[in-house]
Amino acid sequence: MSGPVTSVLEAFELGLRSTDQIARRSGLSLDLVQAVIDHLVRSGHLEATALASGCPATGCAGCALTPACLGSAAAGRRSAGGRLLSLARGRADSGRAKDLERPLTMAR
Amino acid sequence: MSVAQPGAKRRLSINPTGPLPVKQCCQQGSGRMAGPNDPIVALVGAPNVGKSTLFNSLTGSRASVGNWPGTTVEVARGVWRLGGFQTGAGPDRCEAAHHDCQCEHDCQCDCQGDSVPASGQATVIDLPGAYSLDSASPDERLTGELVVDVPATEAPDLVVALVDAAHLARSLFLVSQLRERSRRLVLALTMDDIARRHGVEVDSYALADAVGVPVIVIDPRRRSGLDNLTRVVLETLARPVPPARPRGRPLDQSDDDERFSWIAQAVERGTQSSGETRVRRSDRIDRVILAPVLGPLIFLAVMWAVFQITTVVAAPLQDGLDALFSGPLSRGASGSLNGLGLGGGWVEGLIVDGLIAGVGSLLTFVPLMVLMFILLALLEDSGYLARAAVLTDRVMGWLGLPGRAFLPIVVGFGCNVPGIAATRALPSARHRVLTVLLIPFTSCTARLTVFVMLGQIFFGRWAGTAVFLTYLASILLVVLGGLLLRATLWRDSPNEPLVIDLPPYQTPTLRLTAAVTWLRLKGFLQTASGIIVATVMVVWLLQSIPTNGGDFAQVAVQDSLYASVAQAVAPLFSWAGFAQWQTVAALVVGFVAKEAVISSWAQTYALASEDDLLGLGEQVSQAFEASSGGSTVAAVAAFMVFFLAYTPCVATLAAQKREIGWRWTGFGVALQLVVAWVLAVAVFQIGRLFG
Repeated sequence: MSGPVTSVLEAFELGLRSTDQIARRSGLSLDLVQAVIDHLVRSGHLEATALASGCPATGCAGCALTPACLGSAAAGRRSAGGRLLSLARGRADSGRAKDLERPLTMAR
Repeated sequence: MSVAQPGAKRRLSINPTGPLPVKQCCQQGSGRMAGPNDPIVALVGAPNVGKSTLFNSLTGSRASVGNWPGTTVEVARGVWRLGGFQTGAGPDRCEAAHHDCQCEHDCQCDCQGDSVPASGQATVIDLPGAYSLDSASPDERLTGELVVDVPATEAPDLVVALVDAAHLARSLFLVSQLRERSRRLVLALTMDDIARRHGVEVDSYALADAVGVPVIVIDPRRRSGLDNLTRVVLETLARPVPPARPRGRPLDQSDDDERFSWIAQAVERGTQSSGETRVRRSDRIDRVILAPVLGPLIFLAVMWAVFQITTVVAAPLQDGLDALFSGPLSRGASGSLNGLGLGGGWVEGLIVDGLIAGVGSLLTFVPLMVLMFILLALLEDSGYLARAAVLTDRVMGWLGLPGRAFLPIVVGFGCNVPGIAATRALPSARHRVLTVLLIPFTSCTARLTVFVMLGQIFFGRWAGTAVFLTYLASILLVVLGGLLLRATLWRDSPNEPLVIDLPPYQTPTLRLTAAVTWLRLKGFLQTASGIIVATVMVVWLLQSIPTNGGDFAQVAVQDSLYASVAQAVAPLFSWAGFAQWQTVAALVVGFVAKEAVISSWAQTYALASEDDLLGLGEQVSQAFEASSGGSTVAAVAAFMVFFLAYTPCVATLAAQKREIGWRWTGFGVALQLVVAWVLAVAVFQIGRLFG
């Protein structure tokens, strides 16, 4: 039997289009599905794009609405625009922290 | 190194190559730190779970904050006074503490066998927020290295993991990893009140059984539950280190599968929900809002209401502003210029007929834009517009179009330029080209002002419906254009898996709505006014150059270079019913920027008008009536369709060239012009049949 992570990734492959559908198909709770998705986004298996702020910084120069995009940092508070999730084209390992080379110990 | 003083937190500047904080216990002036043999308690948890609030509650002002040596990660440490409770650090800990302390001072150990240190305090370390112990970020890596990667003798004596009860599954991933090691662990459950509001009751005893460690409900903001936490921490410290949780996973499952299976069981055992909890409020609303048939109908109704409210409510305010600019303001400016001896010349023409008429025509739309932005901000902040994205995606899915392409297209409804730039996120080059070619058919905000003006002139109280129909036509153009391109150029275009994660519905706030409205209005005015002022100057220049002799700036506008160019192009639109040169000239200006169309109209008619009492609306109306042979409404509809479908602006062309090159950009311009002309002719010719 597939585990939760595998089930969610399979649901993506199958073309399900909402977290609700994934929860229904996998039999997992919606909270668990979202937890798995958050984890997959953090680990680089999924790519997430804010729905309200799909404007890359380089492309907004001519847009009068750029400063007020609700998904952007300008809006602050919280994201009310939702997220667009897709399978990552490559693992995101390369972008991870590189500044800690030696193990650290807890201070006493 | 500096040390925190009473009453204030002071930021430490620890040299990354300098001594580790292991020596802090012995430094002069660091008397606020716990002793070397006091237990070390590490606070871990996701960001915003209440970790720092708990840290402050436990330590008060007895804290110092600084970068962890060798990293840029900020860590706070302080003293947790344990009150009358007694700790149970064993002799091995005390010995280890002496061994670790390498300073020259004579540190006194308070350990007495199995008893507790006399100091009655612990060192608390507030580690950076972390969702997991994976090394996805420096923060998480540091937490992982300090808590689990170090040998047991160097690890903290106890870890307090803060867990968000309202998002239990997400918070427990970190706990699942912590439980894979043999460590003393206590779960501090925060946000319990929010979880209850969501209908989720966390049974801390059942959760403790499931997770295998003590669970305490706390509220750091109200300082409740802290005594219980202190007691449980001391009890846990007094006990032997518990074993790691047993792990057994099927061969076909990954480590993360095993962890989330464990989390699923823990959540199942540790939470009780009323019958309704699983079906949250948002889900119940979504059942209606996202229903296959009802959902799109509701969306259309909502958008119709937005346009209708906007046009109806804003109309009288617009009329008032229009009267102000065309009346007292223009007359006042003319009077002032006359007083200065500049009246009747090109200066008055530029300022009164150019800048005041042009910029004034834009400012009359301020009430309309404010209303529109308020309504859209309310819809967006409530979470409804994200649902509209689901509906759009569904339609694209049904049509076999690439689902991910709908995001740039949605952005394009605000402004085409960032919409085109957003296509970079598309993985397939074919999808990028396809989407870049479709985006110019989305009706941007700049086009909205022209649609509203024409709607108010020709459709009266149905102006909102007319504007709404142009948006429907825009959606239809995108869909049909996509189908056409897919059926011809990209038959084997692959689709990719895509999921939309919707936020819960929430009550919009006045503050955010006002801020977003102001930002959008300011941005629109800044961009539009710049474009309009520049265009007004160029149009004025072209209108001042005579083509049949005469002096500069002393020529009738219909004899100017501006009119000559438009008159040369105008016959192309005779089949579409709007071949008047003034109308076509506005389209030529619109090729540069749609924001400047109304100002160019205002400029043209301000110069041409022999009757000051005849407003811009009446003059535009007369032009359409004359060019259409009486089928005014059909001609206006044809003009609106052409205006919707032809090239949006020069900035869009530049963006297209940047993304897909000149060849495809040229193809796109030709496609837009052909589609716009064919549709305009069709609309007019069919429309005139119905009168």
